[in-house]
Amino acid sequence: MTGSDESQMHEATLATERAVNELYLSQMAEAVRRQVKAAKEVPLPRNNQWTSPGSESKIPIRKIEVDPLIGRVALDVDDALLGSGFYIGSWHQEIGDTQVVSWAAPVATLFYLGRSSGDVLASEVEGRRTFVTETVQIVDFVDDLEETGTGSEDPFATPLTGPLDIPAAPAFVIPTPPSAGSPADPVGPVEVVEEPESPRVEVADESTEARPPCPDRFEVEDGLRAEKALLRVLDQPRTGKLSSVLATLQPDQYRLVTWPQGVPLIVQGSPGTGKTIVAVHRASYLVHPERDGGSVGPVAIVGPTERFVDHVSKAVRDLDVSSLGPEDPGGRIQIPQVLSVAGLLGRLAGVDTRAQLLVDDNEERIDTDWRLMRFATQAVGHLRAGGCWRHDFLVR
Amino acid sequence: MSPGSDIEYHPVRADVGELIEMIEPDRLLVIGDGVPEAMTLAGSTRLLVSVESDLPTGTYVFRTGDTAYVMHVAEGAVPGAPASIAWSEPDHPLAQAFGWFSHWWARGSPVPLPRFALEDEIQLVPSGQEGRIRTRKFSVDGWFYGVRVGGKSQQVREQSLQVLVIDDDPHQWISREPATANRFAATLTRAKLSEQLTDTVFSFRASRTLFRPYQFRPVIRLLTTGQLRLLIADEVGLGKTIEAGLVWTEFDARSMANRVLVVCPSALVAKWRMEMQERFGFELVDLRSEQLGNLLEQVEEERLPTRLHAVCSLERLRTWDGLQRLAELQPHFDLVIVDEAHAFRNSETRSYALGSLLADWSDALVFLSATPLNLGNDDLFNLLQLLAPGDFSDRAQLEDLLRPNSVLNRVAASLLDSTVSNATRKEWLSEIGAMTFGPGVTARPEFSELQVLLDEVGLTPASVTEARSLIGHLHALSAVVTRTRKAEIQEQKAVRTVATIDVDWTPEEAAFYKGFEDWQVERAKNSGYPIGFVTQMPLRLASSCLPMARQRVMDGSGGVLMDDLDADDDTGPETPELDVPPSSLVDLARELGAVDTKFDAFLPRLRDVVEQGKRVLVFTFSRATLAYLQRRLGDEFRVAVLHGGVTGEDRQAVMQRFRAGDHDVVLASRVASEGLDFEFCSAIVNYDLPWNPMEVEQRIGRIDRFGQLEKRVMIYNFSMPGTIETDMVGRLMSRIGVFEDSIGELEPIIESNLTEIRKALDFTLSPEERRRETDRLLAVIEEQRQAVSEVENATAFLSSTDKTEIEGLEQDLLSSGRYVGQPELRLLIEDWSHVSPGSMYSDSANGSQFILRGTELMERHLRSVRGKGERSEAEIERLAQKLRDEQDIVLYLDQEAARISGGDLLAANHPLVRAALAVPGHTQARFASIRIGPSGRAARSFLVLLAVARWDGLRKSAELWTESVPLDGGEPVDGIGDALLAGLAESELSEGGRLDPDLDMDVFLSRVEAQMMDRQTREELRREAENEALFETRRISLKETHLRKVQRIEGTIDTLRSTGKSNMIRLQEAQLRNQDRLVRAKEAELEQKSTGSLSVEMLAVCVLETEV
Repeated sequence: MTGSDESQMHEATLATERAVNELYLSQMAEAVRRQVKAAKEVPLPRNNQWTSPGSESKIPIRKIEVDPLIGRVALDVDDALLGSGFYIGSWHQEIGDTQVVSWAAPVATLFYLGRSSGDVLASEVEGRRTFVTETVQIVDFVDDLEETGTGSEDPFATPLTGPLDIPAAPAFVIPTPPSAGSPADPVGPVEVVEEPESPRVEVADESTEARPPCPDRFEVEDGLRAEKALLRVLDQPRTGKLSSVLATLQPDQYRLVTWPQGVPLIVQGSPGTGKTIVAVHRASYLVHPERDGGSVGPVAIVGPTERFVDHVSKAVRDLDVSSLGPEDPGGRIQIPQVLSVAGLLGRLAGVDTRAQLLVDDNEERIDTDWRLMRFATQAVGHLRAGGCWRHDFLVR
Repeated sequence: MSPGSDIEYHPVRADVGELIEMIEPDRLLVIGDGVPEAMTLAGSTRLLVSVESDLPTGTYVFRTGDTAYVMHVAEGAVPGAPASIAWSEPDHPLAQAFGWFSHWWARGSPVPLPRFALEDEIQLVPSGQEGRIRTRKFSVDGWFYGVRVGGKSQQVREQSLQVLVIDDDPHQWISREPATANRFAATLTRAKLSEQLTDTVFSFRASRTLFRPYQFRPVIRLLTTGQLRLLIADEVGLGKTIEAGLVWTEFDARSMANRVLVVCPSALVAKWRMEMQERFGFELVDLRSEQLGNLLEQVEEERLPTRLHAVCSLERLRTWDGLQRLAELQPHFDLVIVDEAHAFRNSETRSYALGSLLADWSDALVFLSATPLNLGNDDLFNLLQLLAPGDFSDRAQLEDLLRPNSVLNRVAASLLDSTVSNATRKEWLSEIGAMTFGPGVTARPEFSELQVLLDEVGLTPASVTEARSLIGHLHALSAVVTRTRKAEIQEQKAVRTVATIDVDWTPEEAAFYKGFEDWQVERAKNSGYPIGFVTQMPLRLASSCLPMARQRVMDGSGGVLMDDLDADDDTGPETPELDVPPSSLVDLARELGAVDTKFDAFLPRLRDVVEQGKRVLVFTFSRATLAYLQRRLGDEFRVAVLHGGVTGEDRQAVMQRFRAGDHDVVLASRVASEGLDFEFCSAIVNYDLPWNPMEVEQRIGRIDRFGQLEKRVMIYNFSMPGTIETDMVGRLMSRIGVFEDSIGELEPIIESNLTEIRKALDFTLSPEERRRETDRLLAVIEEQRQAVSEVENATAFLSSTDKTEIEGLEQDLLSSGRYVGQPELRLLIEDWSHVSPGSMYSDSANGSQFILRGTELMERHLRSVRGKGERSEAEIERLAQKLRDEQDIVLYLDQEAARISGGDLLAANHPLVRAALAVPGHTQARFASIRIGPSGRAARSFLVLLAVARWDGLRKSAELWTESVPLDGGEPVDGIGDALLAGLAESELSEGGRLDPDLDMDVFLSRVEAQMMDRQTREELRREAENEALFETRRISLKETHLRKVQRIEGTIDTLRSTGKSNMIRLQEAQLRNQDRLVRAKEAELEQKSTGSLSVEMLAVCVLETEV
C-alpha cells in the first residue's frame, strides 16, 4: 500500500468508528434521558430553593455528560456473547449486535492487558484499538496488534458492526447504463471461521469471610500499551489538575485499579509515576455498578493535605460523571470521597478540622508532622505484617 | 475513496452538512427527523419521516454526469464502513441504495426553502416585536424558528415572522408627516436607554444619594475607558460604598449588572445590605453557609438565576469548602464588588486565591480599598495584577509602566509655575521616549496634541486646562485606579473659621471645679478602677456644664448617672459606684450659687449668630447638658433637641422643621446626629469637646459638607484653662488641625492611636505632666504622618492630579443632556400607559411625585421583564401586585424627595422603566418639529441630525452625536444638539411651528449629513492613532513579559547545567518552547484588535426652534 492509500484507509476506518461512536452517544443520551425522566417523578424536598422564592421547583438533576467510546478489542473467535470483538466505554450498551462493555467490567481486562490477561479469551486477542478523543468526538485511534502468525491481516479490517448491509430496494434503478469497466468482485458475506464455543467461566464471588488469595506479585514487564495515544496525552499542556485517563491506562496501572477488593496493597513510586491517578481510578472502579460484584459502597480517598484533596477532586468528579450511567442517574451512585488525613481524623473525632485548616494557611506543616508520619508508618507496618502486597512503580 | 465515485456512503451523520456544501446536490432526500441546515444548497429537498428504514444511517451520494443526488438517512440501521463504487458494480450492496432513493423520493414530501436565515433580524406578527433568528428546524408541516425576542427564546412558525423593515434613510424620514414632540421624545429616550451609550451617564440623579461630583469619577472612568476593572482607592470617608453603588446603578441601567456579588469583611455585610437598599434600592441576599450550598447546587445544575444580588463575607467565602468546586464550574457574574480589597494584597494567601477566582468569574470587577498606595512592596502590584493581569507581569514592569507618569506629573505640576518655560516642559516630555513603555505614550494622539500646546510661547488658562486633561489621558493605569483625596475636594468646600469663647471662671467656679476634680481623683484611686473613660465622665460633665455638676453634688450623687450620657458613647462595661461627695465640696457647691460664666459667655455669641440669620447646631456629649441648655435657651430661641432617645420619626420631623427654618438652634448629641445632613446650617458649637478627634470631625462634617451654601462655616469652642478639655484635648486637636481642616490622611493614624490617646488623657496628671504627655502624643502622630506621606508615593504615579474629569460635571451633564432625566422617564411611562386603557397617571402638586395606577396588562408587561432575567421575582412582585390591584404607585421625580422619604425614585433602572422599554412603543418617530422655550418669542430654526457613533477598537465606545445647520441662512451655532438633548432629559420639548413648505429640507439635510461625515472622518483618524498607541503599549508589555520569562527559564537551565542536573534540563527546555508558542498565540490575538472602525448610525432628524 502506498502512503496515500494507507492514509485513505485510515480515514475510512476513522469515519466508521466515528459513526459507531455517534450511535453509541445518541443511544446513551437516550437512555440517560429516560432515566432522568423516571427520576423526575420522584418528589424531592423543596429546601433546594434559594434566592428566588416561589420560582418553579425544578428537580435538581446533576448535569450528565456522556463520554465517548474508549477503545475496541478484536478477537480471533466469534464468542457467543462478545462476537468477534467489542468496544469499551463507560457503560454497557448494544450497538446493533455489537457489545460495548464497561471499562470496569471483568472482560475489559482483555482491552487493558491483552494476552497477559487472565481471561479465558486472552489468547484470542488479536488487537486492541485505543481512541484518541476530543470532547466527545473520536479524532484518531491507535492500534496495538498481537503477533498472530496468521499473516499480516488487519484484525480490525472489518467493522464490528458488520459489512455494509443494504436491503434490496423495491425498485432497482440505474440512471445511466453501467460503464464498460470491469465489474468488481461482489462482496459476499464475510466468512468467519467458527471456533468451538468456549463457555465463559463465571468467577465466583469473593468470599467476605476469608481473605481472598493474593495474586502473585506481578511482572512489571507489562510494557506500554497504546503508546502513541499515551504520548499524545502526555504532550498536551498540563492543566495542573488530574483528569481521567481511562483510554491510556497502562497495564500495570489497570491491575492496580482492579486489584481484588479487600486485599491490602501498597503502591510505591517516585513523584510523578502516577500513584494518585491509580488511586482515583481505583476508587471509581470500586463504586462502578458494572464491576464484577457491583459497587462496593462508600469509598474514601485519603491524602496528606487539603491541597491534595483539591488536586484530585476534579479527576474524581470526571470519573464520577462517567459512572453516572443510565442505570443510576441523579447521582445516587456513591461518589468516592476525597479527604485529607487531618480531615479524616477530625471527622472521626467529630471536629470540623477542614474549616480550621483552611483558616490556617500553614496546613503544609501537617505533611511533616512527625505524629502523623508515625501514624502512617505504623499503618504501613501493620499492613505488611498482614501479608499485604506491594507494587513498585519504576521511574519511566 | 475517490471524491468523484458514482455512489458513495459516508457513515458519520454529522458530516452531512459538509458533504452538501461540497456537492451542492440537485436533489436531497432526508429519511427520518433531521433536515440538515445546509439543505438550502440543494436544488430541491424532500423529507420522509414515517418510514421503516433498514438502511444504515449516514449519507449516500449518487452522481451521474453533472447531476448529483444526496440521501441522508438520519434514522435507520447500524452504520457500516464508508464505501464508494461505480455504477458498473450493480452487485455491490451499496448499489441497492439508489433503488431506495428512487423509491422514497417519489413518496417524500417536498421541503420548501426557509424564508429566513440564521441571524436574520425579524419582526413577530402581529405583535411587531423585533428579534433575531437563532435556530431553524423543519418538521413535517413547515419550518420552525428559534427566535430570540427581548432576551427570551421562543419557537415560532414561519407564518408568524416577517422581515424587519429597515428604515434608515433620513431623507425618507423628512418626507413624511412630522411626529408629535412627545412621540419624538419617546423615540429618543428609548434609543438612549437601549443603545449602550458610553457618553451618557445613567446613574446621574438615579439614586437616593446627595450629588457629589467626585463620586462619579469611577463611573466616568469606566465609561470613558471602556474597561470593566477598577480599583477605587479613595481616602476614608469619601463614600466608596456610594461610588460602588453608582457604578452598579450605571451598569444596572445598561442591563450589565444582573448578577452581582458583593464581597466584604463580615463586619460590613449589614452595612452593605442597608446602604444598597436605602440608597439604591438593591436588595442583597446574605450568603451564609446554607445559601452558599444552594448557590453551588444551582451553578452545578446550571440554573443559577440570571438576576441575583448577593453579598458574602470575605472570611466565609474564603474558607467555604465548596469554593474549589465552584472554581471548577466557573460561575459567571456581571459585576463583583470587593470592599476592603487590600485583603487580597498578599499573593500567598487564600484571600488572594479568592481574589483571582472572583476576577475569573466576573465581567466587571470593582475593588474598594483605602489603603495608602505603596509602590515599595508587592501589595499594590498584587492588587493591580488581579485587576489588570495582562498589562504587566512583575513589579519591575509595573514600575516601568508607571515611569512615564512621573514626567507627566512634573509637567502637570509646573503648568501654573511661570518660572518654567514651555521649552523646558517639552524637554521633560522628551525623556519619555527613551523609557521602556515610552513609545506607547509618545505614539498617542494626546501626546502630540500636548506637544502642539507647548509649542506656544506661554500658556493661557484654557490651554492649562486642556494640557491637564491631555496629561490625565496619557497617565498609565489611570484606567484601572481612581483615587480621590480629601485634600483634593477641599477647594469646593467652605472655609472653616474657628472661634474660641474664653470662659473666665469666677473664683467660686474655679474653686468648685478644683474641689470636684480632687474628689474624682480620690474616687478613682479608691475605686481601683483604671483611669479611663468611665471614671472621667463626671469630670467631663463638670467642664461641660458646671451648674449640672453642682446639682449632682447638691443632690448627694457626685457621679454622673449613666442616663446623663447619650446612649452608645463607648462606655466601658462597668460603672464606678456612686458615693457621697465630701461635705467640703458640698459647701463649695452651695457657695457657687446660680452663677454660670460659661453660659453667660456663650449667650451673646449665640445671639449674634442667630441675628445674622444663621442656624446653629450645638453639640454636647451629655444629656444633662442638653436638658440644661434647652431650659436656658428655650425662652429666647426656637430650640429643638436631638438625642439618642428621640425616635426616628420625631428626628425626621425636627430635621424638616430645622431645614424649613422653624428652629434657630438644635441641641444634639453625637448619636442623634449621625447620618443626618445639616448642610443648611453654617455654625456649630462644641459646648464640650469629645475626647476622640474623629468625633470632632464627625460633628463638623455635619455642616461642612456638599450643599453648604455659606462660604464660611463657624466652629465655636470654649476655653477654660485648668480643665483637662482645654489643657489636653483642645490643645491636641488644635495642633492636629482638626478644627480647621478635615482629618483626611490622618484618620487611619488617629484610629490606630485612639487607645493610647484615651489612656493619655488622664485627669490625675499634674498640669506639667499633661503638657508633656500632649507633646509626646503629637510627636507620635507627626512621625506617623511623615510615614504616610512617604507611603503615598504611588498616588502620584497612579492618579493624575487632573480634576477636569469631574469639575463642573453636573453642569456639563445638565447642559448636554447626557443623562436620563426623571421628566423624560415620566414621559416614557406615560407613553407606556397609553397602550393599556384604564391606566391613570397624575402629577403631584409640587411636581416631585408622579402617581401611576396600572392595569393587568401592565402587570403582564412587568412580569415579562423577569422572563428576560433582567429583574428578579422579588424585585417586581410588589410593583406587579400594585399594578394588578390598580393601586397607586408613587414614583419620585426628585432625588432629594426620594432620599428623604425612602420612596421609589424614577430612574433608568427602575423595573417600570424596563417594562415600558420592553413594550413596542414609539421607536419610529424619526422626524418632528420641536420647540424649546416659550412660544411667541423670537427664535431661530435649525435642522438637527442625531446619530449613534460606535467605535469598535481596543477601547470600545458608543456616543450620541448631533450636528445642526441653521435654516435661516444665518451663522451656525454651537451646542444646538446639546440643547435638544438637555430639553429632552427635562422633558421641555414642545411642538414647533408648521414647516415652511418652500424650504427644501433635503438640501439642508444633505449639508448636515456632510458635517456628520466630516466629523466621522476626523474622529476615526484620531481614534485609529489612539488605538495604535494602545496596541503598541500592550505589544511592548507582551514582549517584555515574554523576555523576562525566557530569561528566568534560561537562568534555571544554566543553574541546572552547572550543577549537573542534566535530566531536568529537558523539562525546562520544553517550558521554553511552550513560552514561545504562548506568546505567538497572544500576539496573534492582539493583532486582531490592532485596527478598529467607527460606524455612524442615523437616529433621528428634527427641526428645532430655540432662542439663541
